[in-house]
Amino acid sequence: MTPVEPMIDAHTTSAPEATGRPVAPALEATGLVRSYGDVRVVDIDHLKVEAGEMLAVLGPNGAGKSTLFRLLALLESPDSGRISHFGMPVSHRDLAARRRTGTVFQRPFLFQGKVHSNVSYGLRLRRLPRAEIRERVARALELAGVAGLAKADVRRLSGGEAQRVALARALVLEPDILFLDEPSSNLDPGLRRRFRDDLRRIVEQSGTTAVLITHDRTEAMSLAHRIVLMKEGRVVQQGPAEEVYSRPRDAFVADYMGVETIWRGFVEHEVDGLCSVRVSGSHVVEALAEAEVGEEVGVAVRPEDVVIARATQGEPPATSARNRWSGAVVSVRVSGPLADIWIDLDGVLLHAVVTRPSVLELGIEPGARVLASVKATAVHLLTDREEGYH
Amino acid sequence: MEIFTQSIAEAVRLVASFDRYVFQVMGLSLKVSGSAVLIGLVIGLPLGVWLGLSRFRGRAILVALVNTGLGLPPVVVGLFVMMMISRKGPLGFLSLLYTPPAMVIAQVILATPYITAITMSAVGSIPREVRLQALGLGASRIQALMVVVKEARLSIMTAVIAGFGAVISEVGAVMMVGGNISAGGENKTRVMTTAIVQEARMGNFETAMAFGLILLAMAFAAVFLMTRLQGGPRSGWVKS
Repeated sequence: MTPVEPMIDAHTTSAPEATGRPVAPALEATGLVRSYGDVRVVDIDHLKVEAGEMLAVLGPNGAGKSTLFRLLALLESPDSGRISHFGMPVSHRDLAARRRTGTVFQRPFLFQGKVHSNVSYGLRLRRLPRAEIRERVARALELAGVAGLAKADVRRLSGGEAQRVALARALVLEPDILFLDEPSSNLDPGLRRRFRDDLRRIVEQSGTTAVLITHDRTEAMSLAHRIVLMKEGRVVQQGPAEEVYSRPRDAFVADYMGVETIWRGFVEHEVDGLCSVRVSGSHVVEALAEAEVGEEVGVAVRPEDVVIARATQGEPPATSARNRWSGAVVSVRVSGPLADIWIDLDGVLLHAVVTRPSVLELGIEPGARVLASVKATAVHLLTDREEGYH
Repeated sequence: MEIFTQSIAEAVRLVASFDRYVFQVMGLSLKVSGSAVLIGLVIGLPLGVWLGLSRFRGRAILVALVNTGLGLPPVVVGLFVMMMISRKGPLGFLSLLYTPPAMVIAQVILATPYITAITMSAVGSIPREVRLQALGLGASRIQALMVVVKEARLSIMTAVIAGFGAVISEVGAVMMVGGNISAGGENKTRVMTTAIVQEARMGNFETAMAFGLILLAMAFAAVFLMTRLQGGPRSGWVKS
């Protein structure tokens, strides 16, 4: 390194940042690899979490999420790779770094004894004065919604209470980074929603940076600012939650994010970003997307973007949607206020979601002829290009 | 049947009247076996935690060795210790043969495998996330291990009781290295089990039965305590 370089660095980094130094990400991991035997369970080029942000690591079972969790939370050492917190390199041997974090696991894993002694555990390790411990424990229990349980024996808690105590036990540390491994997946559906709502409120209020591991896309979408989707130890897509949801980069992401209709086809024409994709002999889909003529693509259509009308003998209903297909209803499944409908469009299957009243109103039943319309902007093309895979 | 009723009545009288000889022998029994279990705990607890939580090459062999230790015949252990400390043995210069410390050494060898084996399975049965959870709350490696041991404490107490029960009732090892010496009103190395052998052989069934009753009472208390400990409500993490 020549002595000139640092001066250039100083100049280029400070010039655009009039307010001061650029803020380092709260958590950054580079080249993180962990193998068990011959299997690379985690193999991540780059991952970062900005300060104050909640990142969801989403993926199916066996994607390596929990191993990644243990690596990021400094509970286990990677085979190779670097992790930094706020720009400072850290490792699992770094007790001081670990003490700036808090973790909550899928099961509460409360230690035998009283709720109070569980929540105060981390503070006692940090040798804080008694009065401060008492005050912070009370505040954390209050925040987690279990203020009345301080003196309860952990064996007497319900599943939901126990998980809230586990949350309080981590929150009481006022961590710089909060790590949550499937914190709500062991709770009953009703409890789960309340737990999530409270979790979002708490994390937002405290401004804590958080990493949430989950296999539940609804949880990821409702809590996280950004999503990292993992498969077989690798990151498949990383970006703002809304982007991963609406612009999945391949068939796996689309499928995982709830798109059930993915057709294979090739681009026939392209004019000003409007692509015509031939899906089958008679079937052409118009999509507003970036693709090249002749390219093989996946065509993803979200079920909620499909508008259904009853096919009538006369005029088709007025609509601005570029894609209008007629077909026959194959099956209808009503669950709660919504209904899933599968429509056969001359050999290709389309999945749509409509409200329960419209099913009755339109007389949708197996065999009924319907008209499905989808806007060109709602069709997403999946290309198998490799770039941007991290 | 008279022999039973008579000796039991006499045994109760001996115990109730705090007979000096009976209490001297009982005291030495408790001292020797108690010390052996305490030393066994100092060795077996860390060893059991280590074997229970770590995975390494050769662990299976060590575990097999520990489990074999559960079936060590006391008289063989006695023989081994006797040879080590006899005048011609490698530790002969310590002049330990026929002293209480020799008996303690033999019983440590018998008690340690119990404590190691039960500790091993006890800490092994605590979910590994408990240790990770402690680490995640800011515990050092040692502090996290302490949490696991604390969670397993009931089973570890069972280990201590089982070890104590095994050594206080064995006769082979203490007989070999202690020699069952009691002379001139002064008890040197006689414990309850060796006393039972001695008194019965001399026809003093009442005294032998007194020691038998005390041993039985202790065994009962130990088993009662163990079932109470094991049958108690389980810890919080068992529940989801």
